[in-house]
Amino acid sequence: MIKKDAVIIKNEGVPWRIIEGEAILVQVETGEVIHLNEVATEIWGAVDGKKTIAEIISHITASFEVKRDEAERDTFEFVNKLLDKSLVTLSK
Amino acid sequence: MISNTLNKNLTIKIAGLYGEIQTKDIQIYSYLKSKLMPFLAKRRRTDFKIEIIGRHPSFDEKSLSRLIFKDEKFILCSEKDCTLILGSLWPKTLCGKICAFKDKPLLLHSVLLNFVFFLEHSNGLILHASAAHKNGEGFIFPGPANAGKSTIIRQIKKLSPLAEEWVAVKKLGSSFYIWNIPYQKEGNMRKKLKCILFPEKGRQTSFKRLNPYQAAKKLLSNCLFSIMHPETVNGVLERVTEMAEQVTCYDFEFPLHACLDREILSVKNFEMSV
Repeated sequence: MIKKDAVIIKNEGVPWRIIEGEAILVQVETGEVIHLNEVATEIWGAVDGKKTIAEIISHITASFEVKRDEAERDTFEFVNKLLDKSLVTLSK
Repeated sequence: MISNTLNKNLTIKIAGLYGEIQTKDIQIYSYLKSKLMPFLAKRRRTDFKIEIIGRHPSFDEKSLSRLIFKDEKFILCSEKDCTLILGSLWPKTLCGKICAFKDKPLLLHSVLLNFVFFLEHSNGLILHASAAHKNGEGFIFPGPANAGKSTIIRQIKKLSPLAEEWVAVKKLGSSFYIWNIPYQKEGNMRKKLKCILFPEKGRQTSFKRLNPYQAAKKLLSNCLFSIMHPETVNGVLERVTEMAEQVTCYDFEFPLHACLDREILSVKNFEMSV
């Protein structure tokens, strides 16, 4: 179970670029190319190794017209996917 | 007594990169020279060096080689058995040492794998694509197997074929250029990249302009990587992004057996009308 005060850290070995506001990530070990939509790209961009998940949720709520509980659900879902693919780690 | 060894080097030029292949084995020298004949160069300057050292004592199986990253080193090994080490590559100095082995076509494959690695570390990349040119301008048609890469080249009579399967791309100054690579008959054909069209067989002819994000996704899925290593993939991703932003890209649906000259040569007019 991921806690809201956990800090997410990008895996340094993941090449990525943002093009026209949407991110492309490459999972090097599997060769999988991962495409992120606008919201997921905003979350990915906010992952700086300092912000907690709660702070990222606040950032998404402020950036998009979305309710807090919806932003929370989407952020946790996305972070879980990133963890599954070893694209990020948690500090706590 | 006639010696069967010599100290002669081959200098090849592929995709603007000058490579020196050093070997003392006369049979290997003759074989590589015959296979790389259209790409032989006289220039002494070299961008990368590959030294073919001795013959591997046990590697005689019919297996391709592949690159792996182990113990902080780029290592060439058997595709079937990664403990069978066939050589090492150093990206910073663009140098490689590889073992010779019995099967010469497989050795040529190893040499070309080395070249792809050095190209990736010299602002270039290899695309799974066919290519054609006219008046110094190049068109590339990237796609997976059966997308119509070779078919489209045959249906455009007014463009001259450049490559059917693999194309080298590199940025020189502010522009992108394309080259054919070995296994083609003619050597060292460089053309300025004008347009990228992703072919798809269909009922009618249609162009759909792609935005840079869509284009980058498609280009990336058609890139050949010498090795899936963060440093290598990051460099290729950077160039793919630049290409997608600078070069106009289209999805190009085309019917089989139709002449496509008018459509391809009107790409510029099409761009203006979008």
